[in-house]
Amino acid sequence: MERILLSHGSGGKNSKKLLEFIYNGLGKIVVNLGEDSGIAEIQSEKIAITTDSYTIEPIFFSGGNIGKLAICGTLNDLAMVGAIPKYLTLAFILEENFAIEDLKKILSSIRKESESAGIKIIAGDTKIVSKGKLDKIFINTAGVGTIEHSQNINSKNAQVGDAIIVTGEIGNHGAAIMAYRNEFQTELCSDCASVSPLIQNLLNANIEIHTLRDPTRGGLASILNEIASASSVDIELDEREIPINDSVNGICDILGMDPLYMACEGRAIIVSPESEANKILKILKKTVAAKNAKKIGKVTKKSDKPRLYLKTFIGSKRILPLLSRELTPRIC
Amino acid sequence: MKNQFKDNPQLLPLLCKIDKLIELSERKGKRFNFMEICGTHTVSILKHGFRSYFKDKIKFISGPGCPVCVTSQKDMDRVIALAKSGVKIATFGDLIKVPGSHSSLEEQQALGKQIDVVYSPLDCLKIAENADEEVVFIAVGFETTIPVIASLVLDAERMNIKNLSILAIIKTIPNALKFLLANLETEIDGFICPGHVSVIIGEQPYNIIPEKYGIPCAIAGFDPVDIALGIESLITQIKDKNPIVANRYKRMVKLDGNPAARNLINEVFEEDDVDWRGFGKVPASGLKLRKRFAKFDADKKFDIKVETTSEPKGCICGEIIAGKKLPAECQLFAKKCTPDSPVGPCMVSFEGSCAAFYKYGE
Repeated sequence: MERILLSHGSGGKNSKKLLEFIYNGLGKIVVNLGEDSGIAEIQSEKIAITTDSYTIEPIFFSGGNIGKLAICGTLNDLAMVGAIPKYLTLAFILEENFAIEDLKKILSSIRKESESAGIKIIAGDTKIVSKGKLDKIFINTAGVGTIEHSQNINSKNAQVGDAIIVTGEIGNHGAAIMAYRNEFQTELCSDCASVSPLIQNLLNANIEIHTLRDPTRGGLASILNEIASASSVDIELDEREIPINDSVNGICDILGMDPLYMACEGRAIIVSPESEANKILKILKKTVAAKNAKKIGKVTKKSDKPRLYLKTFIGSKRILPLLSRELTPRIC
Repeated sequence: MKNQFKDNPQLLPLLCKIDKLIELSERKGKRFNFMEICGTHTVSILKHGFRSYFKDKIKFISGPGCPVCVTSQKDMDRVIALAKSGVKIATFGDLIKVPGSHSSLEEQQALGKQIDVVYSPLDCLKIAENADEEVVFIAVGFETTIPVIASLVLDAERMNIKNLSILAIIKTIPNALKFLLANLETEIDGFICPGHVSVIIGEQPYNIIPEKYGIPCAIAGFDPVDIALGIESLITQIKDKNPIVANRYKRMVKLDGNPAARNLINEVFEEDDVDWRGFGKVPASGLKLRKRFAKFDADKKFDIKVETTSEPKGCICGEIIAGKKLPAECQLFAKKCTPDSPVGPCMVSFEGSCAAFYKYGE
């Protein structure tokens, strides 16, 4: 078995072979498979459920691959409501001729991330489509987690006076992908990671949290616009305080893009009362993954016309709007 | 986080110095009119908040420095006609949404025409090699982009690629500036000269501005401190009544620019009279392929027929490009014309004044 063939999706012998290959690759994180439905054992009053599909070009990037991205993405979505991740479902759609060696690497990343998060894969599926029908591999997941806190964490709950905190440098994932696509030589890595442990640490320390979001597509500025809108508040950021890697700045400058709109895959935005800010930073910074955590702004007032503002390096204030279309690199 | 260029310790003292210089200048409340020629400067000035910082003191006027915006309606129609004819179009992303008289590349793409967005002109080599059909690169840009377009043509010749050509809608800055100066309707107190273009052309092409018109010039970069240095230089020149071409972007721009890049341009292209939106035909302000490269010239390879060309009704992009009006003075701005459904090119391009003013909430 070197490449995916259409017969791997036929339901016959080759399908069985592929399935066994996948089980082997995933190891002990797979439970209760083989039936038409997996049965979850959950003792909790509230459970969180999320689903997402993953497609990325390139599928292997500096700092991760589509498998790691799929697991971390799902874990992060669960973490953003303060849930403790328990189970995952995992479905692959593979293009005919996809290299088995690549699938092996992807499975190995999935296994590693799942093991360290202590989650089990409870249901799965594999489909094969003929060449050209999709680009290499798509992964779909669902995640199930338990909610064991009693806080009201959601985008509508940002309150006047709250501090805005990010758990690390922003834009690394988006910039690393852009760098690869443009064949730039850089040591920059994607920030692709699970933020679940960071959030658990905060909840275990009884920190009051009003809103949690991960700034994926659209980046920091887009997600904070959504929070401002959902909570009917104005938010003001301080450009000086926003942690941005020099390489990210460099890549964005060359391409005419804005780091504030570049995707992150391993960061969280935390909106909490100002009185909790120092405690939050202290807890976050104990973990290497969040050593660059920073308070970057505050919720300033209630507003009928919610806006996100940026206090710039020169000290004047401007609006950080929602982008109305895809980022395209500059041509001049 | 510390960023040596953006968060430069010189910045705040420099701003204080500029504030003092403005106070000392005997303007009696009259604002300075500074024109930034380059679209990237328009974006930087808005993005870093200079516009609001100097609100009552400096009026920043955008010049003709966005390659998509200055592309004439007729040229846009030619691009769209080419797409319709069935050739594969390779283009920078910015052009996709620009409306022609009757359609746009975006619409043609939706109708099934082949339109590939490229990040670098050199991407076209691979596209052509993998395509059976004819591939045409829509070559828009100024001196910054032209050397790479010239490389594309030379590489295509060397690799003997037969199904690749370029539609040259290329503009050059020096003669366009002369035209702009000869037709100025607004009083300009100083020019912020483009950083990227100057890397190629050097300082000399701007000399005519202080020498013939007595207007100060400062070549500037794009980070806050770069722009502040440019502004400081212009105000100092005005105060001292000594207009010159000051190079405040010396870490990138050399006196003589980049002769190697200019030689590359000259090898492939020659001067041509070209159409500018907002200006009309400007003598020797663009480039066409030299005869040796005729087989890469889409104009010669294809019979491009354009239906009637008409400017969008109510759109004042032409006047905005010529520095006569600001985006907010257009009755369509932020109403009928937005980045999601742009009427004119200045609302499309990332570097366009209207898009920048819209984005940064002015």
